[in-house]
Amino acid sequence: MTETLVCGSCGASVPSSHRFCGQCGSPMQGTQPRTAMQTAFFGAIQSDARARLVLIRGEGLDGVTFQLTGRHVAGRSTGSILFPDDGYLSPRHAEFFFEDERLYVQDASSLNGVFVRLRAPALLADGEVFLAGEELLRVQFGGLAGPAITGEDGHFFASPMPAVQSRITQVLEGGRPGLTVVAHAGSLVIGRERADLEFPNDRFISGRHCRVDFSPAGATVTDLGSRNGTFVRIRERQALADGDHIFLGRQLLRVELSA
Amino acid sequence: MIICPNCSRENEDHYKFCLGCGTEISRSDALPDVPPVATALPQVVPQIVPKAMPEAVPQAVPKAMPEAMPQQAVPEAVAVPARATPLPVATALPAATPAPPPALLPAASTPPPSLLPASASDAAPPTMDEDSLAGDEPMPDDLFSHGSMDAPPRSAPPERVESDLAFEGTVDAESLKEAPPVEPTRVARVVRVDDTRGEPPTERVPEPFASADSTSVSVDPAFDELHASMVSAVREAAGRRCRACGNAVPAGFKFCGVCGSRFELATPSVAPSARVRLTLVHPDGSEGESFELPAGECTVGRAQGLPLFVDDPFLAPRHATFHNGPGRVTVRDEGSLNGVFIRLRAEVELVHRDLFRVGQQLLRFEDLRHVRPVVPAATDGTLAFGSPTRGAWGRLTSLVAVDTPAQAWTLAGPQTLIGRERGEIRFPGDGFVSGSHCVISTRQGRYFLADQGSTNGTYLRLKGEQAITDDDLLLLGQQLFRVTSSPAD
Repeated sequence: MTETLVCGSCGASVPSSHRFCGQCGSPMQGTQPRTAMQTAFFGAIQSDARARLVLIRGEGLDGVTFQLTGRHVAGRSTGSILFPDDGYLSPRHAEFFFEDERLYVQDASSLNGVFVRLRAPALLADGEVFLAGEELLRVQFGGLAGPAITGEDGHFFASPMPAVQSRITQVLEGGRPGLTVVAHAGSLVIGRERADLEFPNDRFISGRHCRVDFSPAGATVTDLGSRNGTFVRIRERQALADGDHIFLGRQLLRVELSA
Repeated sequence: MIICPNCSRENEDHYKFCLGCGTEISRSDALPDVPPVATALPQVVPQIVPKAMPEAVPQAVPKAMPEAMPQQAVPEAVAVPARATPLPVATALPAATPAPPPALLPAASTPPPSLLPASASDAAPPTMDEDSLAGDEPMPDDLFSHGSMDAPPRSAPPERVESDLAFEGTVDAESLKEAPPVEPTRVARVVRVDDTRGEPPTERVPEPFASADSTSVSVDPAFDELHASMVSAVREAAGRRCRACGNAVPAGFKFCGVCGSRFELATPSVAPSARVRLTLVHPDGSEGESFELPAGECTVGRAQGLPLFVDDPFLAPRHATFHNGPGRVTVRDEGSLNGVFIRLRAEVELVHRDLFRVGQQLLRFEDLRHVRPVVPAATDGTLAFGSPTRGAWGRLTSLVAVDTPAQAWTLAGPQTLIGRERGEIRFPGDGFVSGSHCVISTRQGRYFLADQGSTNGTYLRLKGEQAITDDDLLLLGQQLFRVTSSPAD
């Protein structure tokens, strides 16, 4: 194995000859070689591990691996799975635990939530969010009637009311709304090009990334074979399978279950 | 060439409406130079007229009009040239006066015999002269009322006016000789003259006078040239000055050559004690009823204020107040639900939550820095996660109800074009939106909105009290009004 270091600041893999991390610029001085670190880690808890969380960085570079043995809290300042530099993580963000021989993840009332990559189409309720590429999108079904006009004010001269009120709104950093597109035809495609919601500058979104179909039951999100997947925010807790991907804040983790 | 005061498009001189935006083109804008030209020249005339007339009149009149009474004709004849004194054409006479009369007399006397049989045509030549005289009177309004109403058979009235200004009187003289007056308008006039009985001899007189003019003009081309240059100088001085630096802007230029500012025809704010009218503009662009704003304040609303304001459910009972004050006319929204919108004539600055109308859309501009998050803020220092803004600075929403956006767009980059077919923000289903309609741009942390010469315009909702000027278009309720102002008498 070639000598590779792991940046102590951001977890990126750095060739041992480099003095600074190429990802975050932190000095590499005093950093333990990755091989040594992994060996130590495995040696301590390998026997008990039933699952692992592998941190995925950038273009698929694997980073730190967390061994899951029992109940683990992930967050910015609390728990054993810590990402102190990720401001999008709540201090106590999520919990991983085993129940009936299955691994679960549960949102610990975090601000930004826990997102799990879709394996099959998922039904979303009004106001729920999902991730495609770097875009955080919220589905909405109604609420366009506006406040009631009282008294003698008369009618309000506004844009034509769409026949369908179902729509998708992009949520920008800071929680502000961005692009909103009404699903005039009942469904919307999200992607980089030839889509209803186009994000030409998103490097992580596929040409046609996912589709949302609105029905009286809700909004069904279907991944269209995107490279990076579509992630849906979990409501409370969700069982995890081998190969699942999870977003916590900006951290993308892959679940590996021991057979 | 007429530059549209609204969209700066160049239009042919005889157009009544701008090809670019449909705005009615004011004729007085088109020929700001007419009065100065005429007034600059009249002193020469009195010397000439008396000399030319006494000889011509007595001889011409009796021959042409045997039945007419010479006694009446002579004094009246003197009066006619007096009326013609402002004629610029007459200034060319001094050199020519001695020679022309004899040469002209036969010419003057030839038409009458052929004309005499038809009693109606007796007075026709005089009326033609009167036409040319009246046409030379230095009131632009006159010129155009003649062009549009009294002389429809003329193919291009404005051109004729131009030729008068350039002293090419020959055109008129030839029409006198070669084309005996048979135009319907003249007949109509003759009838009128006949009704007054006893006038014909008077009317006869100016013909030799006018012919003398034209002959003399062709005699002295240098004089023509001099005056042509005077005309163009006056033309440049009047009106076409850069509003930024004050330098003259040659006709046809859209930008000041000295400072580069965009040249716009002066749209002076309403003059002191102006008469201000609101004219209803129908959806097809035609104008309807018109009412004058009273002096002082006038609050209008649903079936209130002026008769123009009908029972429109989109008007508040008290909708807006006009203030027709000295030197300034303003309008302010009285906190109505729908507000007052004004059609953009130049770029305006946008601030957070400004509303504007494009086609059938009610759009709200939002400064992204002030957009309220949809996620409640965390108390533990956690940042709200979301899509990268990628340099976006604004947001545009289409409101379908009070404070209720449906469609929304983020605004990024130096400018965003809004249009039906082109642009970053498109309304393909809205036929009232032009192909490219308007542009939102940002410079130095400020935001601007400008119409792109759209057919139906971009309307900005007024905030507070705003001055309105001549030719502004206001949208109140479902109705559009044109503001016109003219100086009080």
